[in-house]
Amino acid sequence: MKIKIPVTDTYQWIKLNIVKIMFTVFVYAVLAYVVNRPYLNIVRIAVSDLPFLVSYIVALILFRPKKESLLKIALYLLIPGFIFSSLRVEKITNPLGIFIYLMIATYLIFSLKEIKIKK
Amino acid sequence: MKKISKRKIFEIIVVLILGLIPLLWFHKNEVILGHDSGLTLFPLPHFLDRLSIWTERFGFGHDQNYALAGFFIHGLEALVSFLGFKLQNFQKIVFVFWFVLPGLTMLYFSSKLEKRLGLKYFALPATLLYMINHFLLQGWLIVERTKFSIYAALPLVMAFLFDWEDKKRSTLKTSILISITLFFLNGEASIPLFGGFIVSIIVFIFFYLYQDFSKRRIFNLFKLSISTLVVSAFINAYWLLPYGSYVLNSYSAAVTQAGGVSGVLGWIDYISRYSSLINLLRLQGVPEWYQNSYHPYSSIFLNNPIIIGISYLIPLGAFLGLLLIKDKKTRKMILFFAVLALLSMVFVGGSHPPFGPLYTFLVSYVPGFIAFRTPFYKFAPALWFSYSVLIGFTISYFLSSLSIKRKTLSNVLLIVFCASVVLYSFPFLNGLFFDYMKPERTMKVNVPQYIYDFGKWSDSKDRINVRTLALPEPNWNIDAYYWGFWSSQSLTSLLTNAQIINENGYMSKDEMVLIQSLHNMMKRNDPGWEKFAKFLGFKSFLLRKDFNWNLSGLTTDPPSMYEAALKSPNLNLVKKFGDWEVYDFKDTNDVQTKIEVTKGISYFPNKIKNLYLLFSTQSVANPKEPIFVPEQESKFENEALKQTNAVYLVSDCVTCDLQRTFVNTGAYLPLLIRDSVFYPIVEFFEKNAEKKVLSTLQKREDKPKFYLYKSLEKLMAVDKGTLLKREVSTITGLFNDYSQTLEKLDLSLNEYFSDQQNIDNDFLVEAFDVLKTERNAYVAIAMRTFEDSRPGGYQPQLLDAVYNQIVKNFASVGNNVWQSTEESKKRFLLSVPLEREYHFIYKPNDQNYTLPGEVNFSIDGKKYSARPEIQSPGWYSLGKYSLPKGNHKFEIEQQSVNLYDGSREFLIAPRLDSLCWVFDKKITGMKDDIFRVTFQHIRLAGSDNLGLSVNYLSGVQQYNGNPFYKSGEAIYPTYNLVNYIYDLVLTENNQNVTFSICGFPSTDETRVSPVVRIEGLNIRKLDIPDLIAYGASANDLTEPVNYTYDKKTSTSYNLNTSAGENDEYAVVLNESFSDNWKINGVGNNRFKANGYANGWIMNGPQKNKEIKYLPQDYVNLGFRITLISLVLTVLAYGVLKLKKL
Repeated sequence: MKIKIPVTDTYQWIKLNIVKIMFTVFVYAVLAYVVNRPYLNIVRIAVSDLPFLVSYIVALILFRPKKESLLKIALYLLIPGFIFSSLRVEKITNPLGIFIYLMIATYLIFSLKEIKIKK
Repeated sequence: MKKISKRKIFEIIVVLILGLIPLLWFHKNEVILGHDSGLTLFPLPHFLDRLSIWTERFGFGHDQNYALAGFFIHGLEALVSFLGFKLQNFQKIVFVFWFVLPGLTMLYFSSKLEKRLGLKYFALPATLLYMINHFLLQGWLIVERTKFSIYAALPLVMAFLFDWEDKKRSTLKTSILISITLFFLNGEASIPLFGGFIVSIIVFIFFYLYQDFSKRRIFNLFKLSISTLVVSAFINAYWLLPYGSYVLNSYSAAVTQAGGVSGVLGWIDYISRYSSLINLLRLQGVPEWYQNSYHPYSSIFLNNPIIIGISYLIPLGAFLGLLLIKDKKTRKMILFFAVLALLSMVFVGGSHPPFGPLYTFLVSYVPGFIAFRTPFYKFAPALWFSYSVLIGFTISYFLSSLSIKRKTLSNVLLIVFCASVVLYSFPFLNGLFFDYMKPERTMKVNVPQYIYDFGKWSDSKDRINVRTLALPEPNWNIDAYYWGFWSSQSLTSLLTNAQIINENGYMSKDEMVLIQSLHNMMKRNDPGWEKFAKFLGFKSFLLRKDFNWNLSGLTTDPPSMYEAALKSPNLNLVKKFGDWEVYDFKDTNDVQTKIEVTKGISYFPNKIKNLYLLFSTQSVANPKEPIFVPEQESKFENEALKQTNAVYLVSDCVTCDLQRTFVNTGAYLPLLIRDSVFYPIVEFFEKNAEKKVLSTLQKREDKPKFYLYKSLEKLMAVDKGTLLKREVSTITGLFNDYSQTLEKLDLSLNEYFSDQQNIDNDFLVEAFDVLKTERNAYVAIAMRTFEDSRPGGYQPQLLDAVYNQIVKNFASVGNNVWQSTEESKKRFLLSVPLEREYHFIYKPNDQNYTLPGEVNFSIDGKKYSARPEIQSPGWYSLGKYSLPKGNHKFEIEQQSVNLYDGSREFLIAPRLDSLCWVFDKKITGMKDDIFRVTFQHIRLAGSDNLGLSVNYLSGVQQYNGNPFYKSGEAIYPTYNLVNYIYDLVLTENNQNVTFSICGFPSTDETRVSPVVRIEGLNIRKLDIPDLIAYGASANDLTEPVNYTYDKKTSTSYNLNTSAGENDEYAVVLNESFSDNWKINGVGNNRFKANGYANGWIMNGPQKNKEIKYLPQDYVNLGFRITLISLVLTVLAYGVLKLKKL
């Protein structure tokens, strides 16, 4: 008897993008390690969430998501935000807030060309 | 005339009805007062006082240029009060006005936007969100009218700007409208309150230029900015002129007062602790919610999952419109407000990550940005404004879509939404937010009638110019009463314009010290307190028996402590208002009046905190004679010395408390030491710093002081190197660095000691403590190296050499410093400015001690003995001695008295029924008195675990026979005789302390009864005596000068004197010292008199000479400019409108 394993779109997407995902995680891990080294940790005074910001930009470059998708994800992330806020797990809600903010900001930056007056 | 639609009328009615919410806050006779609200009990006189730039309501007078811009806020209150409303009704009217105003301005803005974009269901939701929200709720906690003012102005100004962008109104007309809006709604010109406003303008400019970056647009923007600035400058001249001069003179002082940049950054960190993006996205993060554990309503918003869920709908509502709305014009506006929302979060978040470093950078390096020291409250209006509009768009989208088929349902949902907005801010409905810390601190109070009666009486003609001291003193400037009022602003300043002096933040440090001294004298009923009060110009005393002196965390002394002083036969109880009693001096002839003119002035070159001592003795200082207290860099000193009558020298008994200053060595621990790759950079900066310090020496001690602390830093580097077991060569290098610095310190000290007459003894005392700390730390470090087995790890010769250097420096300082190191030898240092014969009077300050028949003392090492005569209670005359100019060392013997007079030895044998020995007398004294307890102890029998607890129980704590009730320290006696020493510092006035020695029950398994012998118990006060040396002038400068004066206003006095043509005399204006007090024709001959007042040296007869506070001239000029330019501006707008330009 054959067992049929459902191959979802998500699974396919992960399979296609596994290298990019791993690279992004790798960038984050390396930067997180580097900025905690003696002397180099001075960088954190200037940019407190550098690994997070850089890996976010790397992810943007690698995946080139649609701006609408970013905004949708940002709004969907409010749901886990609500759950973790109810549980008062600030360690998760704070980075989540930054993530939501960055995605909305990215959407806005990509949308700004709409306001240009066409001559 | 444009017709207003029914829907618009409905919206206006809704806003007006909701504007009546403040009526729900008042119950029975309650009014809202206190905290930081500044709400006054008599608005009209308060407003009139604010028109003058110098007020007598605070301290010894205070510049209140900041108050002028509150013309409209307080003018409105004065107007309502003038119409005859009682305080509660008056507050209802004023509160409704400020509650409804942001709603109306937002309705104007949102209606314009609605019309411009062809929207429906937009204006009302946006308006209500802007009008009723948690940001304003927090503002209402202190009825922050200044904030409401600028908050209401924001939508109006943005509406004008959008109209201008759409070319619906000309540049000039727009400028006029913006200027007039900010003329009336100016946030009392508090620049930080414009934070959100500025961010909104920045986003507008960005969008305006980004849409079409052209020269034409830049020019238009430039035109608009310039014309707005010019019109605003003219119509706001009434406050801009004096404010400008204040900012130019006082900016750096204000920064220093706020604790400098580092102090401000610390405060910003505190305020921003909860301003995370996830909180800001949900319009939360209000600092007070998290930091005030008594917050009346925050816990429900922080803990209730349903309310938390609603808070997550807020960002959804705000940003969903970006996905749903496709109309280009509307999307442009949504993008504008979304950018405004995100940008404002950067600033609202303050120093909180991730944008915190940017904010810290702006505060540290952008001039003026330091004003935004509470980022959340200052920038939040832009965030709430943008969210209101964004959510308005989303609601409009849904309801408009629904209304196509189901209009009624849309209308119902609109009403449901509006009701939800109100309910989400439910504390508005019951005034709960006024309960800051219930029940002790609330702003809802019932003011007793006697308070109003006192206010009216105090403002009467007879009393308005009577300087009164308020009793008791507040703690941390908090004025609190049993009937509910509490505030950092004194109640009397909100009640009357008379000069009733409370300790408060408006006073200078010296003024605070003077008032504290007087309070302390009164509490002790020191016989000289009346003279000192008269010297400070007090004619009257207000005893407030309803003062909440026991306020938790802010306890002060009870009113009863002043009663003994106020029972003096020289005082009259002139009036009683409920719990308030007013006492006046019977004889006011020797009270210093507002202006004093005398031929001579006394000279007091000592610390201001000792000034009161001159009056604690009889017949030393005359309260009518002004005293010149030179400041550190007084240019006037030589001039004053010519006019000097008596010279008073008062010295602190140097280190008589025998308490050494703790030196925090950890603060000098360097980040990097020799072996770091970055050390060359450190060296570079160190060399530069050394060069800079050496090239900018201001005082002689600056150089040795620099090397003193440098040596401590280098020693800490050695400490770090040895502790971390760094390479031997590194550690050797560190020792050498330290040695070199000690060498430099030695040279600089030798140089310093070469001029013995110019030595600062305070510095030497400090250096002594630092070097002692270094010596002890060095010994510990050296011992650590004993265990270093590496070759060269332990270098005894190097250790010895460096130790000798430390000892050499220590000895050098020790030989030159003048300080008391023994209990019985009290040392003083007198700096004599003029050679004279000085009369020495001495006060032992110990009620148990009487000076012996013959007292031995020395002056500059020369021994004297004198038969002391009682000069006045507690004071002894030691005779007169000639002293030349310069420093003089005085030493006197004073033995302390043992309060314990029992047997020399006694046993402590703890058993179950008797565990403690209790000293049968109470140890009692005033705050900061020190009692030293010494004895020897030896264990005679019992287990090794035998211990004693030495207890010091004070106040309400009562000894209960429990040895574990430890409030002192535990000691473990051995079979050897061991010395015990403890210094007990009293923390309150009239504190009673019970002293006991208790034994722990024995744990000895052999059940040998424990026994401890106590020997030589001695309990004594560490006396800190006082010494005054005063020398009278050989010339007679006491001849009176005839003069008269009249007070025209609080900023102007007229003076007439009838002195001889060449006679020189001193004129003192007994108001707080300020460079802005001027007498025409009298240049730099001015000085600080009496420790706080304005003094001048003048000569010859004077007729109608005006003493004035100069900035009032700017105010008067500013009001004229404002009036004329306002009329012209309105006329210009009318003309432009008529001509349709």
